[in-house]
Amino acid sequence: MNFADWKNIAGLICIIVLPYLSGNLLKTVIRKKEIGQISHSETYLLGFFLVFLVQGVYFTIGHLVMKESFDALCDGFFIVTVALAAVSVVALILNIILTHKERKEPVYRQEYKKSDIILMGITAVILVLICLRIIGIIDYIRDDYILPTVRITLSTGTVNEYNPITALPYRVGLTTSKKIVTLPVYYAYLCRTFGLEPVKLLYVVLTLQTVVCSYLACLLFVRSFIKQREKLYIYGIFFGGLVLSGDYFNRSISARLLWNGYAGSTITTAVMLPYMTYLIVSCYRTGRMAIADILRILLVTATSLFITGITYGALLIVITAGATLIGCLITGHREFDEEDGRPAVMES
Amino acid sequence: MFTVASTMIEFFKNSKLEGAYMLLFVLSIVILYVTGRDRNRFHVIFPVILILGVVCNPILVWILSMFFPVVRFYEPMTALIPILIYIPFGITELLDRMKPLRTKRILAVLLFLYVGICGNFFGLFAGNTMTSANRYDGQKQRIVEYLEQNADGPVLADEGILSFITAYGDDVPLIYGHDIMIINGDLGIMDGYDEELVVLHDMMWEPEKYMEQIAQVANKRGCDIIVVKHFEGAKKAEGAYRFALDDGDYLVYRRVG
Repeated sequence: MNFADWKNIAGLICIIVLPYLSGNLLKTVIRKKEIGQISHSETYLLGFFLVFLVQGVYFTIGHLVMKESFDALCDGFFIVTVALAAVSVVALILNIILTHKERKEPVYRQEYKKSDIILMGITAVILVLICLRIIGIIDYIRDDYILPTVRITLSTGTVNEYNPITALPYRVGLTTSKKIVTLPVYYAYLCRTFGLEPVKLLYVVLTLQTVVCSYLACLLFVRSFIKQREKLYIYGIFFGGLVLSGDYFNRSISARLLWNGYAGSTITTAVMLPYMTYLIVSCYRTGRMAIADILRILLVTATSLFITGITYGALLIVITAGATLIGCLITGHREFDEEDGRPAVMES
Repeated sequence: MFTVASTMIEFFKNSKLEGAYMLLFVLSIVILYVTGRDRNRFHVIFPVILILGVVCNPILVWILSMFFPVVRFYEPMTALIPILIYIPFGITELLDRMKPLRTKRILAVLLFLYVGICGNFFGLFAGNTMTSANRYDGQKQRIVEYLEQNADGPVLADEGILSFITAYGDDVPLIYGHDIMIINGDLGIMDGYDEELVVLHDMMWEPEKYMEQIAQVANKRGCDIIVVKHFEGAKKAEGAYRFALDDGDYLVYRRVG
């Protein structure tokens, strides 16, 4: 294996693992007393959002305020990434120690039944099929500006100076709302730093990551109502089936997931929206909105600014949050909360 | 106003088309209402109805689109919540109510196949998404690589290959991009196209009729290379341009002198 391959592998590990590590950093900050309140799925999602937020803040300040070149931005962000990973590892260790300490009595856990393992296997097969599907459509064009922006950023070494569609220098430029959308610059950073091919990074790696995160976010919402492990696996199997079959039309949500999973609008719709809905509904069901919940809502909203711009992302999330909150406030049903105010241990 | 007022109808149409996912969503709501306990019904059903009623509300979309034009184009994305959350949720609850295990398993398989049939059957019938026109095949690659090697100035290209040049060509300058037809889009690019380019774009649809005018305008604009759809009777020279390449789908002309 040559050095370029090792760089590629390091890049893939960074993309896949860094969100989980970063999520532990947030988990330490917003730690709740109940064990398992922040599940591994939610930890990954929080880290997923945090990585996008950090890149957004860094590249926006670095480019718009400090007028740094692309190369300088990349070198600086590499240091930021390493620092974030290092602090996150410390947070992970701290979380493990604190979790162990808080478990003064053994927690009763259900064993995995044979049916659970079979369903888990089927879910994994569906995920592999989705992965193969994503790889199978790699040669098909997506009409967006993200891949061209990544390419033009890499080839010219500049940020937002060339029109990605025509490859000519801007005469006027971008709107302010789009100038802070640093997602393509972040992707270009990953390609430059880790030697990844833009097409494979966007169309395969990041798309698959978004599909998995969307599944985790939808699962979080559904877990508020489904407690049995078997039912959750069945949910996952049919979720996968819908994703596999849903791109019969190029504007359907499954098409957005499979074909444009790397796009900020897809991440906002497929990951942030269900997560925001879960947050609001779970706050209402527990009867309180703690500082930790507000921080998570702010994290999602702030992240959406840097991946879709001021107009679309934040607007859609605020509307959804408002609608969900109003809906929950109107219902006024509390008996369910008294019985199930604490998260349940997974049943089989 | 009438266009915006059809938002709810467009939402269902865009999510359904050749598939039947919206019908599955409605069935899922019925299943969840029937199978859910009274105290759970509002938690499960009411939020999604409220979200759809607010986010897809034509009045709200109309008001917001006056300030944020891009809002009008994103109503299909809210299909995630009904389709990817509630359909599998409804199916899960329905299967949970099935008592004989054998019946449950048979129904699960049938429902999974039905979900596939409602869509494109797990990608086997991919509709308008996987066609040869959308695929970056060897022929298009040949054109893009030729442009990468030979284009010093702007390139005038047919609509069918513009996106491929933009996505796969490294620094191939274009006189106009595929965004020339996007109106009120959300690319955020403030550089516009003048009337002459729009007319040129229209002429490019029929190169067999307008090739001479195309060559004149392209030369005036400083284009080095013209890529047009292949047509019969194409001349070897058009104005300042000489024929350079024919890959069966496209003709490439290169400026000389």
